[in-house]
Amino acid sequence: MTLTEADATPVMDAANPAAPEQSVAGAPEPGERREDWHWLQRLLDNPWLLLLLGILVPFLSYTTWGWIELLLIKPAQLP
Amino acid sequence: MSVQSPPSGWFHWPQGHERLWIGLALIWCLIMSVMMPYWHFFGKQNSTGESYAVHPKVFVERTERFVQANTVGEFQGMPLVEPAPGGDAYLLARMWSWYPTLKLRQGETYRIHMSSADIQHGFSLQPMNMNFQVIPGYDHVLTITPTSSGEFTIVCNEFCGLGHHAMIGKIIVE
Repeated sequence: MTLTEADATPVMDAANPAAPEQSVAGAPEPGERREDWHWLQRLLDNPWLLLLLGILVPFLSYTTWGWIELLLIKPAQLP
Repeated sequence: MSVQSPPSGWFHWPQGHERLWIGLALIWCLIMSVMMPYWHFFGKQNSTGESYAVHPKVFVERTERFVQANTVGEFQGMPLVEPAPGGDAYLLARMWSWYPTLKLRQGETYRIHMSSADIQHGFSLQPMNMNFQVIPGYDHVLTITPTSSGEFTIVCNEFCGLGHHAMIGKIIVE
């Protein structure tokens, strides 16, 4: 089998930057505002907000709820 | 590059078959979520986790008084204790025994208080396969009504050391 130029994978470096039509994930395109996106897309394209929610929601629903239950436990009567 | 980033405005509400599939999956998730608390309260088999705080030493003393007041015999070296029907019974877990052996009556309701004198143990009633954690510092109350007679074995299903495999107790129902 003979390899030709058509088989070569394009190399991306300083001399060959990415094509303009390739967008960066999580960033608005030129002329577009983040506020124009659907709220669900704004959430899912925000890794830092997702990280915060991923820590906060389990901490509240498991750890904090558990602490509250432990603080509210009553002493045994042992009749 | 072989991997393309998605276009900027990639979010679209699901349509067609994808919408139907996601809708059905969401409905099933909601059904299963509701089933969990429903079965907890109406399944008739699950403890609500009624627990109180108690010092292990206090619980041990209370158990000893219960045993002395209600002993009716001996079973395999362990006091055989018959609590009053409708009353409270005490079961102490400690390395490596379940103390005492309880003798209950079929059809009567009891409140069994369980705690540990030392470390965490697991109360597993066989062959019913009902399992609860027994933790020092907490009085876990089980409200039970035996529905069949016989000898029921308690095994410890929370590893508690060298004698864990031999930590076996009995509940006798007549």
